[in-house]
Amino acid sequence: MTNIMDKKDLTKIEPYLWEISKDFRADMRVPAWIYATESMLDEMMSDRSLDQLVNVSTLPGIRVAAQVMPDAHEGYGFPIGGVCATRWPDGIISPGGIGYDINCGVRLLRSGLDYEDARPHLRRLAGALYEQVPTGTGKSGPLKIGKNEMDRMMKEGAAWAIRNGYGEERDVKFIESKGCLEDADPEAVSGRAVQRGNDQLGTLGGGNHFLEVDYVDELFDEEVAEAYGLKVGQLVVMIHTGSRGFGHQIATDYLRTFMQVMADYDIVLPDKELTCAPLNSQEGKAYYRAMKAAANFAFTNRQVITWEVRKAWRKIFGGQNESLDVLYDVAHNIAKVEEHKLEGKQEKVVVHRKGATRSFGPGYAELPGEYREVGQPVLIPGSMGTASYVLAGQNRSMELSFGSCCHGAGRRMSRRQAKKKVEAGELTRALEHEGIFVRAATSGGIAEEAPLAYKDVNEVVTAVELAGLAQRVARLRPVVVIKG
Amino acid sequence: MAGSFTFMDHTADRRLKVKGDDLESLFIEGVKGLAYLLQVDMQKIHGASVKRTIDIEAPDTTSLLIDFLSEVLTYTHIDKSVYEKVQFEFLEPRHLKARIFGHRVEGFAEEVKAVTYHEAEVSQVENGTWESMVIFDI
Repeated sequence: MTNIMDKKDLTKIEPYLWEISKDFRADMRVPAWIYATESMLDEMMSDRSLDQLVNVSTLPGIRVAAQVMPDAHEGYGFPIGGVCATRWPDGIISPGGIGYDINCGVRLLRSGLDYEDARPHLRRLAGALYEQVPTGTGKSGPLKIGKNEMDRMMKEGAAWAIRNGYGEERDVKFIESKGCLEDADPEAVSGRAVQRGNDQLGTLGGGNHFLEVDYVDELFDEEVAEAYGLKVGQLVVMIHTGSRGFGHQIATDYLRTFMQVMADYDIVLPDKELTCAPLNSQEGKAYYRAMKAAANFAFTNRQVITWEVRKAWRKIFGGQNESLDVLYDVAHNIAKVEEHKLEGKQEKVVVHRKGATRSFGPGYAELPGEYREVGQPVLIPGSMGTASYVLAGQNRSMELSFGSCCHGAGRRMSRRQAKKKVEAGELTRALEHEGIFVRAATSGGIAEEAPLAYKDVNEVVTAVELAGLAQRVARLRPVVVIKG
Repeated sequence: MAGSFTFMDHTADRRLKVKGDDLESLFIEGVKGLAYLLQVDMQKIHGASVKRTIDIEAPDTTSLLIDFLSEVLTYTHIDKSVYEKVQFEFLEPRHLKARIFGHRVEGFAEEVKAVTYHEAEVSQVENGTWESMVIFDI
């Protein structure tokens, strides 16, 4: 499917920001904004990303503009890489603007080890991590918990895991919202979501989820890197996963509910998958509280995986080098009520981030003291075998994108095409030749996630830096990749 | 009655086109397409047999198809099984009751997160065939 848009429909309003005017289609309520270089824009026009973005601009209560980041690609309803803020409390909340994988996100752990010292042990480390962290779909995790404990976990988030021995007290300080969204309501969550999720804490899942050991290859800002505790050559661990079947079921349940009540709120949409309800409606409130439960599940999941990673790490590097500290943990599929300055005054809005990372600049009270002066760490996973980035949120993102930034390299080739073009065994051998050890649950998983299926992450982060949304702090190179 | 399913390109997810001589065939092809995505190897299913009953209503036939496939996917994950066969007790434009049959599996080939409403539109084309697009979130 191709885009129906022409480049003449786009106006450059800043060096790396393009606008589709509100006049482009009669049902648009606000303009659409695209952060990109010109060549990236051409790529976005090869699928339906921008048509989907225009559809988002029609949502009731949307403020300022429907926006996409440079890693945007076609989704199902909302484009991936999208940001949409709606008026609080009567604007809409849309499960499709968050995604089925609620609080899919990234956690980065910082080690005290140097790549060169660890190098001889990396093959064994890959084996130990693959053994400890369940990967792929349909696999159970190390815990199977009953309804009462599930309810507690939904309310407490990552702190629940720590209370039960899956982590250290200091871990939560370095998680977005301290690993817990308040007012999560287990009563708003279906029994089926609980059934899908009760054995999935501590599991990575499939698709583009992964666990990676990287080394810091280059620093772009020494001062910020120091605040984040990063130095050249240091080994770090990146965890990319979300709320698993638990979140998928919650999204599915509420899309169906919203579909049935939308007419009562006089909401008419160009695409059913944008289905939504006012946040202050009974259904909107219930979804938001259930979504928070799923977000807390995801924070807990990444916490339990951290515990598994620490076990594997101890097995290989036991002794004085075994510590792994949480550098940060941030969501890229979520909705949050936040205050932003719009037209000169503070206003509460519901910020939907669908494949977009929060990127708060320096000075925000929610950031841990260690990072408050330099801005929030923004964790950008690249494609398998290329590079990932640590960025620091900038205040320009507070003025433009509701404190949001890109979330990854962004897919450019379908899974089917990638499988046709790439032979998994060959790719694994080629990566191993470059010193990258890959372990995966299925060979298809490796082929689908081959680097050629993604955009160039370097170009994506350069574009967000030039647009002023975040600045580069460190580039990471992978040495061990565990795939679902 | 016969039907077919074909996968078409989508940047990140899976776009399935289903066709059927009648509505039942159309819905069955959706289940087959989902099973095709999930199965590691069609020949290697030896797990215990499982069955479930689905009884759902929806505002229109398109939503009924998507909600039905969502139900199948939910049971797929809860039961860790692949469902391949369907027996309809009845299939009306906005209400269906069916039994689905499958086998337990060790794991799935693909992480199918959800069945989406995006681009779905159950319609009858000139020769009387029913068709729809179904996009799975991967």
